[in-house]
Amino acid sequence: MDQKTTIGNFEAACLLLNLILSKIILDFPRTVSEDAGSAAWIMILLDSVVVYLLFLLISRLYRKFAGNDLLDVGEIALGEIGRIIAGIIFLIQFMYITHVVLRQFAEDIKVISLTSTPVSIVILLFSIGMIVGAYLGLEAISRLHVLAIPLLAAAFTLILLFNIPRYDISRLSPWLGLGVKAILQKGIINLSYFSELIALFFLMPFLKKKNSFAEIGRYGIFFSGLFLVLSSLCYLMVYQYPTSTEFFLPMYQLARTIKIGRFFSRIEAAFILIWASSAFLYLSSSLYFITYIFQRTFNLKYRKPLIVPFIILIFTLSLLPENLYSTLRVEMHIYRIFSWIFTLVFPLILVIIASVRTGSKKRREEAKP
Amino acid sequence: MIIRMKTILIFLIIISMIFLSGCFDAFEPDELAYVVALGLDDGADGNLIITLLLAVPIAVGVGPEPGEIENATNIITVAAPTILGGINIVNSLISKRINFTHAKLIVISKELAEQGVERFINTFARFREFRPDTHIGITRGSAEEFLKESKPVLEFNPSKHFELIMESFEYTGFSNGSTIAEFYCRMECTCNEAVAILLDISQIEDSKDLTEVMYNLKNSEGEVLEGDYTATDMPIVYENKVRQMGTAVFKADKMVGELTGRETFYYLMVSGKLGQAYYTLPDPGEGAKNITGKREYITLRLGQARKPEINVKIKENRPVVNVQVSLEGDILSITGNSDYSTGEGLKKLENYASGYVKERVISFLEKTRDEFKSDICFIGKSVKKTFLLWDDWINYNWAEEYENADFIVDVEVKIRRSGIMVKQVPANQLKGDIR
Repeated sequence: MDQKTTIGNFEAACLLLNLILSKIILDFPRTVSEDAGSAAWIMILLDSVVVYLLFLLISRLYRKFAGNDLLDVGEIALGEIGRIIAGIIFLIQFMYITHVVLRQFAEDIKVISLTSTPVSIVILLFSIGMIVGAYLGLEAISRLHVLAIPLLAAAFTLILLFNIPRYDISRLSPWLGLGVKAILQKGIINLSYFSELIALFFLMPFLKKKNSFAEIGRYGIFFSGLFLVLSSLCYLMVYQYPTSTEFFLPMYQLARTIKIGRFFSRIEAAFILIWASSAFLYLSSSLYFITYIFQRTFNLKYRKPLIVPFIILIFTLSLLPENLYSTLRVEMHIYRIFSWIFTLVFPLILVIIASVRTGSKKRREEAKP
Repeated sequence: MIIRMKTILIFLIIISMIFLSGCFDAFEPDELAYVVALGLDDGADGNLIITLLLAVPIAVGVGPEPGEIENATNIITVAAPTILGGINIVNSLISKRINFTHAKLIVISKELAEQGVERFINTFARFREFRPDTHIGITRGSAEEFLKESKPVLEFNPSKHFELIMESFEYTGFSNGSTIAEFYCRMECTCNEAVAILLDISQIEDSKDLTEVMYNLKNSEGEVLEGDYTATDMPIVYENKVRQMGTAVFKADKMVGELTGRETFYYLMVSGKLGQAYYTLPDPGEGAKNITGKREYITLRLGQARKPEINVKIKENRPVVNVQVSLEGDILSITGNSDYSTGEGLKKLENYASGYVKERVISFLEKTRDEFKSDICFIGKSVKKTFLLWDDWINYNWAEEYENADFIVDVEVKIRRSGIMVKQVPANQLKGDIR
């Protein structure tokens, strides 16, 4: 059933955008300002350029494998064991980030809205949404993205626009923040902000136009970079460093301060609904990819029976961090340090090996009489 | 069978969404007690005296009977080491749960403000019920007394009363409308310092007291112009005894001084926050005095023509601050016989007003430098922009450098209109002086 699923370029791009950009409503603007001070936006701009260039390289090499996902490429590169190893690595990556993000979203909702509700109940409610999304499959998820992403983008743009009266460019000074060394060192680690780009390589088999993945990726990175830079830039123009490192949810903080006249205020209540939608879409997509990767790695016939076991696992893992700070630490100090390697370097290595092996196989076949 | 299962599943999900939403966090509005203003005083043994001015929703909704406007609010005072600890005590006493989402004003006593307000501001910034646009004021006396004396007269809704009165600085220029968000950011900023609204209770009972008050307020030129005082000395007789005039100046989180209403006007002017306000200045005519020998005045409506430009250059290790203020205004009233509506008269008034305001802006800036040692006019922003690295900026220590600053001020006042009159023909020109 899943193999017959096809999605369009716009649907794939929307899915990719939500996966990469959902961190804006979590802690992204704060964490980057912790890393580079008032120059956080420069660091993310550089990261976006580096990721764009790396993607150009990967997509060029990937062209001959269009229509195959990364597990197929792993199999071409290293045989069945290659597929299994690649599958396990990506599975771990998705599992890791999904349980952290699930806990983060639940904590966010708890802090800003459902203050008395136990966090386990909030996670449970998110889990139900994840099950429904993963059960309905990629087509339903991607179509929902097409509906939600323009709304989310509009909401985000509105927050930034309504804050214009509070922008002060001088808050971006000192212009190089914590220094060039910090920008470059932390910039490498922060390439991980684009780690959800890996999802594009698993969308390949479902694309209507198999060769358009490079275009989707390029647009995805461009707009992700644009929104990431804008969010950190605008946040820093309102809250100067080091105050910018204090707020748990920077975008919520920006929304809270919007006041136009005496009547147009407290609009963050409306945004909670939109943010929860983004969370549901992110988490449903992640659960879908987890079950998909597991199915493909171990060549299983059915995917849907995997949903419940995996959601139980994710639910349990998400409750493991002792408190909010532990959750943030798991993401900031462990995931971000390594995930860029699995997202950008590992696929590059796989594609290079696969290309070499395909090339030599072709040469051998041509050499045969 | 599968379709039936799906239908049941979807039905169950929808039902659970209805019943689970807010089951833990559900509060009916009538189960909450809305705080309109919060007062903080220093108590014994490190405790705080916390005063809550609560709205009585029924009284606000239907409007109280004439003469019973104070029934729209209720006051509770509690002693506790922390604000939220005090709230917990109050919650155990009243039938409703205290809620700050509609709080409009936080009043802190001067005594407490001089010790440092960071410990309270952190609570306001961290606890989500406090809105970032809640105003913050400092009262010379007790915050509890201030809230007890606060009796809105022209407005039933106490929340709206506080909101409107705190925002009146936009058309008076006598206060600053400081809010929690602004105060917190400026308190932590390395390039400027925080300010708060200056509040107090009036001791003036009737108009007989005004003569004495005005006499005490006279400056070296023997005159008292509007705003030449703080909230305590406002020469007003009014049913509501609470007053708002001037600015409480902070350095980091500690209050270090006060600005009068008129000095606050100059603060708003230099920091680019001036709306449109009435401004009175002496008549520029030589010996412009009326028949009883009293000085004549001109009242203008002044506003910012452009945002003020502040440039700082470092000369011989001293910051030289160049401030350019452009104002524009209308003539609203001329008490004397001279006409300044057109031609030479207008030019003369513009030049005089520019010089008059310039002199006072310089003296205001020098006061912030010498007396308060606190840059409240965002001058440090211009210096910060010249730095590339955070560490270099921190090592430069602007707060200390500001004490050595020199000021070069240029004020330009342009009179655009003269009200709905284009000239003034004094009666004495037509009929002569009648004695």
